[in-house]
Amino acid sequence: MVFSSLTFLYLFLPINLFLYFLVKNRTYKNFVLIISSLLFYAWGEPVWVSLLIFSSVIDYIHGRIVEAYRGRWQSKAALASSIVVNLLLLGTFKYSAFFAQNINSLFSIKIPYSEFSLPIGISFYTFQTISYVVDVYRGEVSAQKSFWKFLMFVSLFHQLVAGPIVRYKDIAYEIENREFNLGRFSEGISRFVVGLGKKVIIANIAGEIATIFLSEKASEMTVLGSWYGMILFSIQIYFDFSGYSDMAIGLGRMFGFTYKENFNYPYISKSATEFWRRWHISLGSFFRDYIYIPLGGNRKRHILNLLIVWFLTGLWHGASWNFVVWGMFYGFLIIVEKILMSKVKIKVPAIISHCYLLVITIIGWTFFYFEDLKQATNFLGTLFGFNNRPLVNLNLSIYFMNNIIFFIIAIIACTPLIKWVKNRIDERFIIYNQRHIHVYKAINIYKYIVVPILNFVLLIICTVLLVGETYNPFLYFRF
Amino acid sequence: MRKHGVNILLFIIALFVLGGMNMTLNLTNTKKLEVSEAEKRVLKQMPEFSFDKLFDGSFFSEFDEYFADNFVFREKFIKLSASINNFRGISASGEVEIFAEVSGDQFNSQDEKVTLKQENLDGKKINNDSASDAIEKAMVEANDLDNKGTLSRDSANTNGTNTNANTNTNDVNNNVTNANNTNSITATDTKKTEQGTDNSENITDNIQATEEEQGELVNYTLIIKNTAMETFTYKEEAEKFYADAINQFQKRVNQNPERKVNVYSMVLPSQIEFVKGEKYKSLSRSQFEAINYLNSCFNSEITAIDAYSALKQRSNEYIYFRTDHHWTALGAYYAYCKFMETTGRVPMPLESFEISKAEKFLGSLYEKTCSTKLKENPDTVFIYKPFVKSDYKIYENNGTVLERNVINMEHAKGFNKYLVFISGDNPLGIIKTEVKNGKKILVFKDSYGNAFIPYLVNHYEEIHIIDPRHYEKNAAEYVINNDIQDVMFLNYSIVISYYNGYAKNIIKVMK
Repeated sequence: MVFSSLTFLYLFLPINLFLYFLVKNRTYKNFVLIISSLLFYAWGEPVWVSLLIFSSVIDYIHGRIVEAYRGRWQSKAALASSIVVNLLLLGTFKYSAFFAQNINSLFSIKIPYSEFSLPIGISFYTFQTISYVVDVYRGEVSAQKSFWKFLMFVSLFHQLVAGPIVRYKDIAYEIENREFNLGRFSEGISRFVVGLGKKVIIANIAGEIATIFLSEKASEMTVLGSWYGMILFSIQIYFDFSGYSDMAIGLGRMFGFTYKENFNYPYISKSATEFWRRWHISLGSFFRDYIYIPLGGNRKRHILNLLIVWFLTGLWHGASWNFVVWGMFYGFLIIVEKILMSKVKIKVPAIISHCYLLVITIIGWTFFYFEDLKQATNFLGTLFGFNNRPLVNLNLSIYFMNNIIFFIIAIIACTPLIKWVKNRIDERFIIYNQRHIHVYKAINIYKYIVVPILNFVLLIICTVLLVGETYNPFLYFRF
Repeated sequence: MRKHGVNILLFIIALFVLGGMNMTLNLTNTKKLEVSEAEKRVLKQMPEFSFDKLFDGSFFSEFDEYFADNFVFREKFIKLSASINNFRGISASGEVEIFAEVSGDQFNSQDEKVTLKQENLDGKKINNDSASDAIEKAMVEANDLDNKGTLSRDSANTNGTNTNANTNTNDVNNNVTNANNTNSITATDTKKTEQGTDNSENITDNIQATEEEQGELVNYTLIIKNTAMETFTYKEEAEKFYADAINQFQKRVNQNPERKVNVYSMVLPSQIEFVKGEKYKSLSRSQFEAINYLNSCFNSEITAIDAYSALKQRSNEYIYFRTDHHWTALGAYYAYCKFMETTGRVPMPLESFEISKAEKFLGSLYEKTCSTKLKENPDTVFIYKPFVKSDYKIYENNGTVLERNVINMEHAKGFNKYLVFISGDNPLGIIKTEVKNGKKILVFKDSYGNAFIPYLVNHYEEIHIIDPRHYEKNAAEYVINNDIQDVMFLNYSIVISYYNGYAKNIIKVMK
């Protein structure tokens, strides 16, 4: 199930909230969460829910062994075995066909392989369980004694299928001790609704337009049309993903869990290095803490470590070479940036570094969008004017004007402008708090009346648009 | 509590009120069959539970569609969503809007295109035709009874004259379920197209599908002022493929040298060809060139009727609907005149017809775009009634025979008023007239033919109408067995210009 579906919003979530707050005892609340999470997962993957449970059992046991034998060889063995099992799961279900195909074509042999349908979220939850066992091994957190609580951590529907990658140690305390709090619940609602809006109002519409310009035949494309399409795809992927993270964080807050932020306005970065500190933070930090630093970080074999990390980052996004190219592209840029930073001491004007980042992101997304590398390079040719395509055509200019308000709003929403305005208001709130009673009142009305109404309107607009998406006329039906 | 109350309360109210309404509405009464007239499809029904469906996940995905399709206030929300979408931008210079759609071949035969395969309560299948028949009936009933097109599943089955399980159980449902998801639609279509090629290979070894360039055809709908039109593009291979299919058909029905069958082709340009304003011309390729190229591919035995020039002369008149992709009966009249002149006959003067009207018609392009500009300027369907008495029967693939009038005014009250002309597209229709001249014509047509056929009533004793997308028997034999002298292929240029699906249907009915 996905958050941005009518079934989730108007069937699953109300029932889930109702049951969760109906039962008093935290043990029962945990059960409500487990059952509903498993159902949530089963909605998309009725069979692979068994895999999820299997993975939880395995890592629960591993965690216990690692802790019980701390300091002895058994502990190390359990850690190794946990990592191996998790990677095997991921390898089998996500990469086996890809590896087999490549080996087969490389050595022209025929290793049989079966194409599994990729179990949703497997990339996320295997990473969560790996981080759990490693953290227990490192002594950063103690192992969970209760299997049910552990299962709840792994299956928690908030972050199960699309992240963020939540580390056990970050919510270990809340699993045991979370309290219901109206303020947090209300914050969670606001966050969830904003995330839903990002997904439904911005990402879906951007995706709809992007598809039109990106799926055209190369011989029909125009230079600016390809830019427009890829910019909209960049908008789509950011709002889709960060909207989903917002909804996860919001839901977590409603139920008393605190998940870390996953995005921090990536498109305002000035370098590839900075971009990856702002984009999918939970993934970047996973690779940093569990691969890059254990490999030696920047102390030894620095370049090689970076290459490994970026190869894996690319591959993690999908079992296809274009994702590897995408990952390595960033790896390469980050290495070049590091070298330049240490050697050249010239200050580049901010505007140039912003432009640089935006152009490379767009090149990057090209490899992400087109699975076929030939198509991707051909598209880049059009993008940079090598394919002898016209600059613009009438379709594009009409389309652009027809969607210009949306486009401007989407671009503004990529920047922290709205957040900046909000912060200014909050600052006023603190300064004037006692002294100016009318300002205090006005701000109270804004915070506790206006914002809630805006949230409500946003939710209804999203619902209306989601229903609108089901409108699906058949033009050529029988007449 | 007071502080956060509003936020929490509003959220909970939205979730629980809308959620509660949906649950009571959709989880208690799951047997209903709803038809969406605007979308021309049956809304998704509650999937029936089975362990197979549970394990392959289709139960859940179908439930999602069911829940969304039957959401409370759905129609109001759809309209609202269209108005929200109006805020996305400004129409350039206040008059042009463009809508795009990435879609595969929409002109394949019916069972490849629509889905209305429904399992009935006994678990038997009713086939496409009976289900779509049920829809048509439901739509007519809905108008009569004003009951919003709701009818119980059982009555749909009775109407649908329960028939043999259709063997065509391939995944047609997918076409509908994934209609939003263009990728999967195209995937299915490509698969279908390949199958089509395999089937037709034995008779059409010289006709071959060419290799596709990567990427999709984007269909644009343009709204200039208050007129909507589809843009046009073409591939020479597709035109040739169609011409070759007709060439073969011509040979096929003329194997007996003693009996000559005349074969005519009439391809109608669509509205955008005659758009005013040079700059919009760049959005579309020339249909004049496409039709000329097509005509150059016909063998010398085939007569191409130059309806193009007849329409071009009259392009200032109301020959196309503004909200629909069809031509009007007036446009069809000019094409009919051309046909008569080409075949050395005299057309009936326009003044001699009795005219009826169906007002406030919002056609397919309105449904596609939901544009307010179109909504505020609906079309009027003018109908020029044939003056010769006739008897019109529709033969469904499942054996049902329906009796209708050539002009079926029941549809004038309905949603899709273009259906007044011969009651829409059917596999086979036969009109027997009181013109006792022994002349018989067979028209292979898409929906453009519907407005044209009524004029023939005054000139032929028998008019046979085949829609190759729906007809399943051998039409070449049909021509010979029924001693038909004239065969006309009539369609608008878009159906044959890019994909081969429509032409493959013609090959299909030769076998």
